[in-house]
Amino acid sequence: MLRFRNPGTQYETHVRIIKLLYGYVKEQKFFDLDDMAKAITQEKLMTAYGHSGDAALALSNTKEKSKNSTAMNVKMYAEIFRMFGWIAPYDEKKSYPLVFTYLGAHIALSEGDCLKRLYEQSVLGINTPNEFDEKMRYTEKTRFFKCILRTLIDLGGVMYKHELCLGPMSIDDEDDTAYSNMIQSITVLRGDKKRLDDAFAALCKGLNMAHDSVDNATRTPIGLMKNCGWIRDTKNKTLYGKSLTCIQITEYGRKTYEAIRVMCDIRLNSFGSYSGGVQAALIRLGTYSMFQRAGLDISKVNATITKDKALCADILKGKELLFSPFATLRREIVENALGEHFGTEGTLPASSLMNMPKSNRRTSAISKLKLTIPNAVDFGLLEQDDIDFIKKVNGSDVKNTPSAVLVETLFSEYKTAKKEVFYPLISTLFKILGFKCSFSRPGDNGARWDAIIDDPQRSIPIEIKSPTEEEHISIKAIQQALENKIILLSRRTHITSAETTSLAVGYCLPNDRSDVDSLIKAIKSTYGYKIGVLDFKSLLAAAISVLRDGKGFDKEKLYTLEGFASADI
Amino acid sequence: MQIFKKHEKDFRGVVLKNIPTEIHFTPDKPSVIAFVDGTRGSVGCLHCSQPLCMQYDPTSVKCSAVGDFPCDSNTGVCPVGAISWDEAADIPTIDNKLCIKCGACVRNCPVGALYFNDSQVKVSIDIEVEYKIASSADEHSEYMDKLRKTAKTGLMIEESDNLMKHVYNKLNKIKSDVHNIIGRNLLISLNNTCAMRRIGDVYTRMDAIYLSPLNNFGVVEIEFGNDTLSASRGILDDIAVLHTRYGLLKEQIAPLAICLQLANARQGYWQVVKDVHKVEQISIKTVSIGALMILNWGFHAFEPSDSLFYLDYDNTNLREKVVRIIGRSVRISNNFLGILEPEK
Repeated sequence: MLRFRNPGTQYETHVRIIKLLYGYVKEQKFFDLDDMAKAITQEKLMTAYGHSGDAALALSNTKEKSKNSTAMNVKMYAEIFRMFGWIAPYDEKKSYPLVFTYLGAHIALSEGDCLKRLYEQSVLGINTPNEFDEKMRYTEKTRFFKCILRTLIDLGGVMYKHELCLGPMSIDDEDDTAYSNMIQSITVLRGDKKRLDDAFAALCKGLNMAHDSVDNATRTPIGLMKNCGWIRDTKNKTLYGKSLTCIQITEYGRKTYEAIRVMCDIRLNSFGSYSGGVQAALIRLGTYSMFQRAGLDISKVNATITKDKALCADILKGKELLFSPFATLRREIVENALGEHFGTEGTLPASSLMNMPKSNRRTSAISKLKLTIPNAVDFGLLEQDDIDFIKKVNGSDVKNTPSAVLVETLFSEYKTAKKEVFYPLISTLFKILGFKCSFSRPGDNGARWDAIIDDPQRSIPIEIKSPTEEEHISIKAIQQALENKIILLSRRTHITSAETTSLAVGYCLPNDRSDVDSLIKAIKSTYGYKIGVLDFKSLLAAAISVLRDGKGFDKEKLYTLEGFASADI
Repeated sequence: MQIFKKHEKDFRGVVLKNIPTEIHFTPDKPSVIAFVDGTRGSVGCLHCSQPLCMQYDPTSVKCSAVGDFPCDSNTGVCPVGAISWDEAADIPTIDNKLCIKCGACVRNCPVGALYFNDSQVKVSIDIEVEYKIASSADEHSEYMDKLRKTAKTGLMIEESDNLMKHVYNKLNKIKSDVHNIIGRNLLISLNNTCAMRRIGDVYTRMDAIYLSPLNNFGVVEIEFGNDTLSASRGILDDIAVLHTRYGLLKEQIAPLAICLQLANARQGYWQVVKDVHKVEQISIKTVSIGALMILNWGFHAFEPSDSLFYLDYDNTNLREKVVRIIGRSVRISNNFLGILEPEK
């Protein structure tokens, strides 16, 4: 199955990046991924963690290249642009550094409808095999976008994305039998979603790829077809008996296929069978026909075209040529045929991501709540929920279970707890820790917080996320903790102060703490409020310590907690 | 190196003899253009090489107040992709099945060649005033730049319950990744610049930022579902992010919640907006997509920094604000679809 890289599929982004890149590197002999990264991020076309420019480069610059999000995204853009034929390897034997192609230069210098049509020509030019993708794991021989338009028409104009993987992304389009079988097999799948899912699962297994990876491979082809105006999204219930977002060919898509269907379609294999002179003529004709269809004025090369057409008359048979040499052949043969050479003058690239400022993202600090303060249990633990929990901790069946083990056991036990169980439990834990805490019944929209520590001067609203809502505390919980604080200050249902914390409690601390951490800091800086974050296991550990050893943490710390806190036995 | 340029031979761009003083719209009729000498007439498509009915000027989709904002570069005028170029006729063509009647394309056409007829966007091709074929694309572009300053007046389509029902039926079915584009393009259409977060960029967080006609800057949350509270929460988050990331003070930021339907009166949103105003002195403005469309259909501007659009628990009536701007009553029933008052 064809694999398409997916750095981003918007037309505007593609053309803006290539134009910016051209401006940045046009004087250079060649350019590398670092130059691309610089050009892209400086112009705010790529972000890292919400930052752009130098900050984005710095934030994504990790020691491990594979985890450098900017570098990985730039690499994918480079592969897409190479697939379009806009850029090509400078050295025939290595993938990098790169140079612009003649087509790429025209893309960079065109505007408006011409640019859009040249983009479309670039997409139509994509075909496999070509002289760039020798290392690819797929073997399909196809002009994919011609094949998919044909498939769409033959399947009634509408397809579900997984049908792309099972069909046109996995066949040789010049093999009529294979094509007919593909249409037949998809037709047979239709009507039963399970049948499609089974076939898709079998495809994934055969490719040794995860379901999502195969699914993601459809994003770029679908995006490119939308950019060209060939397809649109449509909701369809009839294909598989349930409403699915499908792609539907547009009238323009049909017209495009009708136009290219009758063209002389040259692929790498047949190109190789011609003599050098004919090959050079086909390269020129392929190039100029793309330019002509895009609306560029090629009258200056009319004489060359006439001569080349005469030389290729037996091949063309009066038809228009469909052949992008830039997406098919190595640059040397293309440049020689056109007499236009790139990568021969200018200066060497100077930039390198390794020289960029290093990341200044800080690892979020976690305050340790030490369980050393004597703490007597006497805070109205009278609710049935409270009594049930105390039994679990102090019952005879767990008498000999070490506290640390008990914490782990209970932590696992509540992994599937819904809010109806979790909210009262959190309230109980705070009560054990010595706070007067009450919870709101789930669904009670009048009470905005999920629980509250009622204090004569410094009440604390608590936003709770049960493990079935979200396993790891997210940005959303922090937003709600801020809202709770503002509501409490406004409505004054409980007495508090601006300096007192607002809590978010969840099953686990956030996965990537830095974003939650930066939001907490931003809230403090902007509004002056402290948001504290506690995880369930820490609360369990603290409560069990109180119940078994009579020792808890310094309660005062909770009132002023900002950021993450944890406790363990 | 030989770089080929656009073929000029087939260029059909038209320019009028003079710059008009007004382009006036009446529902169901082609617009009428007026010149200083009293000449009037309807004008059809001028065959722009870069049609403004299809593409915004790139500066419109940026917000100069925050130059570093990583915005989406999609300049498409039609949020749902209903407009395309008919190469053979050299005019725009509209797929009215897709069209949501927002009027963005009608408003952005510099000559008023697009108009509503029977609730469908049509393209006028007849030119009743003096014109000539431009000698080049450059001459055409220069004329268009001047033409864009001509005031558009009148009404492109008359609002009604039936029309709104039809529009909202479409909006309710629309994919979520188009919601922000609809909000952004309506703000641009209403004389704001608006930069939208790129699709898939989860770190930027806010849906969009805008700069109003009176140069007031703000942040936008766009909510098409029922969870309007997520908009007010999002706005508080956005303000904090803008403060720490770009050094803006909360007092400099005029937040705007654009929702498909106003939150129901009993929903917590209105009370929270009031709480935020009381405690933080932040006035979250609220407006519905339908109200923005009504303003756009009458060629009005939207000035979100104006206290006019501050609604809260004590007053959820958007109708009176819209009436004040358009200067007439709005022909939408009370509470209809939550466009001008909460539905319930």
